[in-house]
Order: sequence, then structure tokens, then C-alpha cells
Amino acid sequence: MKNFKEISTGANLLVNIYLNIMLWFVGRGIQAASRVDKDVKEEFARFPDGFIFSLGAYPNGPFMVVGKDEKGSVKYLGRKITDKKIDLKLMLKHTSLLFLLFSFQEGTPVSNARDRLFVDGDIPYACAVVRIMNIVQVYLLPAFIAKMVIKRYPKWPLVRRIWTRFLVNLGAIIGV
Amino acid sequence: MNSEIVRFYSKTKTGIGSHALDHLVYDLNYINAYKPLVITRENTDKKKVLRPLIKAFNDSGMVLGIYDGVSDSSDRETIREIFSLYRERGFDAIIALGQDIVCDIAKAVNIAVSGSPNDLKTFAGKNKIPNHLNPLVYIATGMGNGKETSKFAKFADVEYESFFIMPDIAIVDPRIIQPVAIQNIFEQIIFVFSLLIEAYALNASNPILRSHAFVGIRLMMENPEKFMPYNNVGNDNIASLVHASVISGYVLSNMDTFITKKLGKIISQYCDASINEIVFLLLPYVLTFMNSSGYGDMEKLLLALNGREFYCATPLKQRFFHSIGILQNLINRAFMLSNGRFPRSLKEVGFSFASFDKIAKICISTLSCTIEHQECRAILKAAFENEPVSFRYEK
Repeated sequence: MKNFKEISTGANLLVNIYLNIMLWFVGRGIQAASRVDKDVKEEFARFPDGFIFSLGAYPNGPFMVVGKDEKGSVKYLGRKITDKKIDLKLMLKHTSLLFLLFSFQEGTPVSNARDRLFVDGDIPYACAVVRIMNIVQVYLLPAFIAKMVIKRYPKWPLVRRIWTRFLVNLGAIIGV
Repeated sequence: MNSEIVRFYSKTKTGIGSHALDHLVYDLNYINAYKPLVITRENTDKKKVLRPLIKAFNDSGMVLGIYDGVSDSSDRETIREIFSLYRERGFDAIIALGQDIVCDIAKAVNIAVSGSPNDLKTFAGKNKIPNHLNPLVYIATGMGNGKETSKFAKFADVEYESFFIMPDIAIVDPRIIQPVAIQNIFEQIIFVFSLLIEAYALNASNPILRSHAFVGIRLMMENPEKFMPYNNVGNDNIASLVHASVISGYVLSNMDTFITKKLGKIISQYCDASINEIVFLLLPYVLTFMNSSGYGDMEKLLLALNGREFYCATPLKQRFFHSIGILQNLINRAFMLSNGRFPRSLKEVGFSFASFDKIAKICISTLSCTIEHQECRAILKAAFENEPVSFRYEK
């Protein structure tokens, strides 16, 4: 038919690669921060053992999955959500909206205020994950970028700003 | 508290603002739509309008149909064509990408595909549609006249009126709103504005309708230079005006009567002006008459037109007359914007003084509100002679 065409929608390849790298890095950053930062430790202490949460884009990802095992240690569990029972899903409504978040054009509070984020799971746990993400972003990002992304940039002591940040970044790179 | 029963119905989810289009996949899936058919005009800009829409479906795995054969001369054959496409290819939702006839066709097709093609005949008229229809999305690409998001549709001289034909989702994304010179959308702007003003001023008992109208008026009046510039300022982004037109559709669907439009429809048959022009021109006179009859809550009109600070600074008794002054100022601006083509009084459009009695009679028999012959005549006379706002009708 002359005026009709059917389109199979494609994928944003470069955006997906960028997001996969960022989610991988943030996931491992959460894992490292849970070992060295007391606030992140406290937040995870309130989660039940075996609790798994994911962050990603609706409907097909990319995703980041992080879980707390029976011993209480936190691990980055990769980017597949199909082979695990996820207790809490935090999703942005589209890949481009996740890209806005992870390219620091929009902070988490702004994204949430613009109705881009939805949660499948308990809201208190979702709030805790957002708080953890805020702390990890402060560790992983340079201050001028982190100030754009989070609501209030924290005033931390020098040791935490330098030494703990170094440990979190090292942990995120080598994966411990 | 007011004991009068009021109602406001709007089933449409409205997404407006930056990246609003990117929420579409989620919103469609939420209402169980996985294979939408896009209906648009044949001259739709592929790069600036269609590409962002297709991009919004990226990574969703969904299949999208695009029918771009709608034109002003589209007829029943177009509906037949889209109907067979929808059924044969297994689509489950319609996206109307554009205004006017695109929306009317999308609404008509939705009636047909939700039941049978015969429903187009059966459901013509007021409140004949018994059930919810299939999902319908309206994506604005420019300024509409509010009918897009309303419960009204008209196609091939058949009119439909039902809350079920309102779109389920309406999206205004500034990325795909095409910049346009204000002159080209002038008719739509004055219609939407008149509708919102009348709804706000004459529906004091319906707070939900009023709050919608208030938002629409503020969107337009926050930047009067953009809304009604003294000169043609060239192409400009009109997203806030489009936003107001989307809201005006919900307001229109819930208004009991649109007096100035009814008057405008009758009067436009006796002079050289469009209905929209007459509606805009009559607005201050109809509101002044209603105010002198003690109808509505007129002093609050200033709050919508000029914002909180000016409203608070103006004494109670001056507020209504300031509002009317603003409306007349806008009419004068319209005159300048249209290079003297827009009428400032009925005298300027060839309306004859002799026909007042005849038209007043027709108006009274058409209007359901309680305007008497002399009162209607007084409104026409004031609009004819461009009298000052403080006119008093002669009993």
C-alpha cells in the first residue's frame, strides 16, 4: 500500500553500550561501597538476606542487578534479570530516560519528579536504594558532576572524601 | 459548600514537557496496547516529527504501523482503508499524530475497529457509544482547537459526541511541535482562549472545570507577547499554547453550554467574519452582560488573566472591569496582528443594524440560557457600536 509502512523498531546501540558500562561501574561501585562506607553498610543492614534489586530501563533493559546474600555481603550480580527473582525493580520508562540520568543531564530527584521512574516492589526499600545510589554517585563522580545529579552534595570529612573514595573506586575497578 | 451537583469527566492521561514522547511505550503497555497504528497527514515532516516518534519506540521490540495518507480531502474511503489495515495487520491501538482531520479520522476509525463498521452509523449523535473503545493516543504536532482531546468528532458531516471517544493518552512534546507564525494559527488561538475564558467565568460552581480552565488561561497569558504579539514575531515555539489547547478539550467536553460560540455561529451567517472571530469579539460583551445579571464569579477572572499580584493589588470592585479591559486590549492586539483584518466591532464586518431584532430572536430560540430579547439586542448593540465596557442593557 502506498501510504502505509510497518516498522520494526530498532535499538539505540551506542546508548545501550554506554548505559551497560555505566551500570556495570555503578553496580560494582555499590558492591565496593557496601564494604567500606558506614552509611551504605547501614542501609544494606536493613535489607533482608537474599534481597535482590535491579535498576534499568523499561521494557528490555539494560539492567544492573545487585543482591545481598545470606551472609550479608553485597554483590553485583550482572545485568540479567530473567534468571533471578528480583525483589525490587527500579525502572526508567525508556532507555533514553535512563540515558538522561546516567549522562547527568537529569538528577534522580528531577527524574522522579518528572514521572520517569517507577518501582515494582516496596517503596521503603526503593527509597533506601536511591539513598545508596546518591552516596555511590558522590564517590564515583567528580564533585562538579555529582552536584548536578544529587539533591544536596554532602559535607564529608577529609578521610571519607579521599581515602574511602579511593577504596570505592579501586573496588569498582578490580571488583572486590 | 455549594449543594449543586457538578461533574467533571476526563479519562485522558496527559503527558506534557521535555521527553514526554519517551513515556509513550510504557503508557501504551499499561493499557494493554502493543502494536499501535500511527495515523498522520501525507505531508508530515519525516525528519522532525516521525523520526522522534519512531525513536521513542526503540528498544521496545514493538512493531509500529504508519499510515500517512490523510489529507483535507480524505473521505470514507480513507476510513475503509485504515480499517482494513488495522484489522488485517493485527493492530491494537491508534496514534493520531496531528490535529484537525487526523484526529477526527482516528476517532472515527476507533469507533469502527472497536466494534463493526456499521457502528459509524449507529453511534452517530449524542452519547450513543455504549462501551469503552480501543486505546487512542493523541500526539500534538501543532496548535489545535481543543476538539482533538474533546468528546466531539465530526467526519463527513456526521457528528459524534461521547466521552468514550476522548483519547486515552495526550502527549505534547516540544521536540515535535512545529514552529509556526502566530497568524497561521490565529483562529485556533482565539477559539481556545474564548472557550477557556467563558468556561472559567461562567462555571463558578464547578471547581474542577474551573481549575482546568485557569491553568489553560495562565499558560496562554503568562507570555502575552507570544500568545498575541503586536507584530509578527516570526516562527516561535508554541508548546505552551498547544498545552492550553489540549486542556481546552477537557474543558469543552464538560461545559454545559458555550454561549458565545452559539451566538457566534448565528451571527457569522449574517456577516463576513468567521465563527471564531465573532466568538472572540463578543466575549467581553457577553461577560459584561452576565456580570450585570449577577451570573458567575466574574471578579476572579482577573486572577486568571493577570496573575496573583495584580489581582491582589486591584480593589474588588475594579477587578471585573480590569478583566474586560484586558480582553478588549487583546481584541485590539488581534486587529494589529492581522494587519487590520480582525474586526473590533460588528460594524466592521458588514453587520447591519436593521437585522438586530431578527438575529436576537434566532439567538434566543437557540440559546438554552435565560437571555431575553432586549438583553440579547443590548449585547449585539454594544458589540456593534464598540461601546465602553460599562454598558447597561435597557430593560
